[in-house]
Amino acid sequence: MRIFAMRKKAKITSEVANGKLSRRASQRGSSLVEAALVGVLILIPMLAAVINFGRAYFYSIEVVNAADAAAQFGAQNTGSTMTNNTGMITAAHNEAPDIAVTCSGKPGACWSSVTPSWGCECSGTVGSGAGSNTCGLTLASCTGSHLVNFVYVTTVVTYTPFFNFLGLFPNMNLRGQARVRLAPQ
Amino acid sequence: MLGRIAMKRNREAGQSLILVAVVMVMLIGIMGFAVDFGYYRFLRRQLQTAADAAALAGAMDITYGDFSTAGAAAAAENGFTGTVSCANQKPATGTISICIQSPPQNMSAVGFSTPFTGSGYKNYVQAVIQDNAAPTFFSKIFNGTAPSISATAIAEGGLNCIYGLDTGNGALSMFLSIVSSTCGVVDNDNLNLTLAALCAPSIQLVGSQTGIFGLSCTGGFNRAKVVKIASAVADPFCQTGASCLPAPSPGLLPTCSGAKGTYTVTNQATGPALTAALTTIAGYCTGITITGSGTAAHPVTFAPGNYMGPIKIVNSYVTFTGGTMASVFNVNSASQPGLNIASNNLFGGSTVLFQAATYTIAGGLSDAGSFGSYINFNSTTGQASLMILDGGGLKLVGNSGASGSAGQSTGGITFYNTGTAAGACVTCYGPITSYFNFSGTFCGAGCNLTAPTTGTYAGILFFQDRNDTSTSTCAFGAAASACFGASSGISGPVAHTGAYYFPSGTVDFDFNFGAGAPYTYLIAKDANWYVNFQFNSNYASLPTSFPLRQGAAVLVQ
Repeated sequence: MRIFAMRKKAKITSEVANGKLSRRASQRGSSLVEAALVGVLILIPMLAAVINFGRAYFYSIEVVNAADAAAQFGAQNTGSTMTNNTGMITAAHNEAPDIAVTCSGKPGACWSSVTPSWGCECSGTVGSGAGSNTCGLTLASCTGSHLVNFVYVTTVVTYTPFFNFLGLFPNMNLRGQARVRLAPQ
Repeated sequence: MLGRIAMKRNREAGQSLILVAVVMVMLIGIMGFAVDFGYYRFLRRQLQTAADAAALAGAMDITYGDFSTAGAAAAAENGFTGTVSCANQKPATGTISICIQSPPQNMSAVGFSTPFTGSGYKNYVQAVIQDNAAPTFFSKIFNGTAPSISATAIAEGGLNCIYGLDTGNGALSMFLSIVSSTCGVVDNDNLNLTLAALCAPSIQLVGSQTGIFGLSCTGGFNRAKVVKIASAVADPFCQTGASCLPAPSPGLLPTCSGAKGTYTVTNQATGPALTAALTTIAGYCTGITITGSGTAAHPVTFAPGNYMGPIKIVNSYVTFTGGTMASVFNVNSASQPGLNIASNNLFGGSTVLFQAATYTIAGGLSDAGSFGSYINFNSTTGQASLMILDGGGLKLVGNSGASGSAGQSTGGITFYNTGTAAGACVTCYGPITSYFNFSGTFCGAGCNLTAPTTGTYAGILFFQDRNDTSTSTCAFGAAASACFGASSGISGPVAHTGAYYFPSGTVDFDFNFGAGAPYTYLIAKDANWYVNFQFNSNYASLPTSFPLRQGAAVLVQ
């Protein structure tokens, strides 16, 4: 309190004595300016980045869940659900209620694609990629294991962040995939 | 004075920089934590997808025994490969561990507990994926290490246990009965419920449900919603993409040239030891008859080998010793079974023991005497036995008035019912009839037939030739192809534990052999129930790779 009083007193004295009002005023506001600069250039972008990332993860989780739900739907049975692409796409959409079905360009997420496919493989081997929607293997193809069908679903969502600083946060594609096996019948 | 003030001003100017620096460090840390945490949440979902897929793939393969390989493959297909291990501990930093196990266990290392533990859940598969190799992005700056992220899933395999394979004849029918099951039902055609109820956790139907009106489920069983399926389900023991359960090969018919007639053993207190040379070399070509001979301590014994039949056993103690294949053949009479266990004595029938072996009986086996006999189809504990009925079928009839009848199987027995399709021949197809027609407690423990727990036919009690296409329907107690007939009135425990596998035949249930059995499953072209029946599904006694080629699986946890 005493320092403050001294400072005030000194300020007035020097203002009167030297007439250097403007310099002192700028020094006095410098921490405010610094704070403003820090806020504008660092804190707000950081906050925006956190929000953007957070929302991206939020949608990413929904995208992965949607792929899982679609594949689980398809894997119910070989006879009907495995080839029911419409059903799988609907299952994916239903699993991710926060993702818009049609894209409007507004910030948020919208479906780019849900791509189901099926195929077959040997139970003991690690397959990859989409199925060919046909089964080219026979019983003899699998030695030591047996033939299983699989449903493979990839989900792609276009994510538009809220904040886009000079193109720093462009639109992103968020992807999910799930590959679930089912018994051939 | 001014100088001191200026110095103070300079120090003040630095203060905000320090403050900003400190705040920045904190903010970056918090932001890093937020971003990393978001990523771990995302990774956790991916792990869950992989765990779900792995548990399902494992459960689908539970009947094949390679559930661990299949589960790990499914996890890899969903992006996670690592050490396949079920050690109850966190994996080392930078590594991923994948555990595929059955039955499921509580995994305290990942804080996962489950009610599906123990040998009663051998058809459940648990997948636990622990990822201790997750990258850190921002928190790395502060030397933060990623947490071990884990996901678990449990799937149940081997879900169905009742299959009606017929695609055009209304595969499953129930009349005035409640059929309860702890496992699912598949019907490739219509399901007929006439004053009946089908109480099962799942019912898959290709056709439609017919019948007048139903009964209610009781005893804690529930009626599942009928699910329509688009295409017929294949025989689970002969599924697309899997090798079929192999059919056993019957032994070859022996030859005999001689005219000595029938070899008889009559009223010998100490039963003689018989060898195949007796009938195939010595020329007794019309069979063996054993009457009133042997004791429990000194039975008439048959060494392994091929014997000319028919063999008739009346009020005697007989043991067929195990070891190599023992065959009993009937090549002389189409009207008699190859092995006929008869009785004509009020004070008890015969006691016949079969030690563990593969037996071929041409002309079939019949225990249809006026008074009950005791047969143990496999008296050797811990070993599987196979009885090939090469024509003539199996007839186990317990009649009133004597203690004990029909079969027991200490070490487990599989009956393979085969023959040829031709008309009146020794080896033409015969029915399997397990028919009890007495009241009281006569049956005792002797009426329990149990499938083997080891070997190719683990879990298979009755296996009928896939070429036996006869689908005749049997009425109450009548003998027709693959007919199980029984009248009510038995109070003793009666149980058939194992599979009724009649891929081309009809099974009629006139008696409930299921309630006392730990597990029963039915694969038949057609099946009819005339009494309440219960299917249990406790497979604890069976090896993991029991041969029910059941592919469907469902996530349970």
